[in-house]
Amino acid sequence: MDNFRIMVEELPELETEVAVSGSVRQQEVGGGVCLFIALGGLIFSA
Amino acid sequence: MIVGKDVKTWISDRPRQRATLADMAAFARDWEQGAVHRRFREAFDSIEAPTAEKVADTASALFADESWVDALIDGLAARMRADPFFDPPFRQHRTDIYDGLLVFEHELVSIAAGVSTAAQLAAKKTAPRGPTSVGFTGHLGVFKYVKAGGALLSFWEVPPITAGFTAADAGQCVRTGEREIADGEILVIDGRHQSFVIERARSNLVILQATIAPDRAPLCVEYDSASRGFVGCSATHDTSSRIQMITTLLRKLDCDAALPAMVDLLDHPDFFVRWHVMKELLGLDAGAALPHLRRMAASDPHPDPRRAARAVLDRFEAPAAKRQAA
Repeated sequence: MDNFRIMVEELPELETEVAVSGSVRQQEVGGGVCLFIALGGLIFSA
Repeated sequence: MIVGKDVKTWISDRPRQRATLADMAAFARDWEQGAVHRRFREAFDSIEAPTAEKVADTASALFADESWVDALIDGLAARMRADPFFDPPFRQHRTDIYDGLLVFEHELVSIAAGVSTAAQLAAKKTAPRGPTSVGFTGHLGVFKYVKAGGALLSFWEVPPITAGFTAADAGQCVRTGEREIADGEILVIDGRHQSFVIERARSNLVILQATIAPDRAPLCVEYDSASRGFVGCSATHDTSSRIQMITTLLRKLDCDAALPAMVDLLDHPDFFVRWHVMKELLGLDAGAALPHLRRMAASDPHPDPRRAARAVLDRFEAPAAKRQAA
């Protein structure tokens, strides 16, 4: 095992992929997250 | 907007700039030492064994009195009329449908006061765009619609977003109803399973918003507004994302001294952080990582890291791998 050189890029990803905090895949319809998310970013990075 | 001669004059007038900054500092000091701020601080400080629900109840009670909003806005407006270079001394909270100021910050809650204009909402609804999402923030929020603007809100729900959330079991979001919001109405939205969409508004909305810190879910989750199916998720806490980035950096730097700290992070409450750290640990020192990988495969509380760890172990323990290691 000690001789293994593990390539991190070849290790499996989780089935539930989680993006970095504050990122979204699609534009929001308009509402909860639009009102929430910037503030969430502010308080959790404070 | 300030243009032309006024800016040129102000920029070249150091005493005037200092006066503006002093006025802003004085306003911030007066606000932070004032009765409203003190009442808020005492109310949240006095919550015993704080939970999201207790903090939301306290915020709702404080929002019952909105006279301070008028006083605050009047005070800011007076300063800005007297000095157009006076900038409200609060952190700004801005999205494409909301402009607000963060007027109170506490470890349990942040409170913003702001405006969503009918024009912003209309632009959002009518602009060309691709697929759209209904978002679930992962934490409780208390909204007071000081001026509701005749807004029609639709309400949405999903299965609870917990530490054990998986894409496979995310289910679908369900539209549970819609109604027009009244001036002065207070809504408590549990972003761990509830959301809302502003469908339309006749005029501007003035909104107080409390974002509750305790007991948040690890994820903010998106569902497609058309199919209602799961689209994706992101970390609610930026610390989780920072840990991921830092452990990647440590591995790329071959920083063996970080091994003990990285092993400690294998017990992080967020499943995606645990797996990310495990991958970096494997990249840094596979031998040191192996017992932890076995433990993760056997007993991690979340199925995804268990499954991923098992897959890596199977790869290691395959005959070819054993020959290679020999």
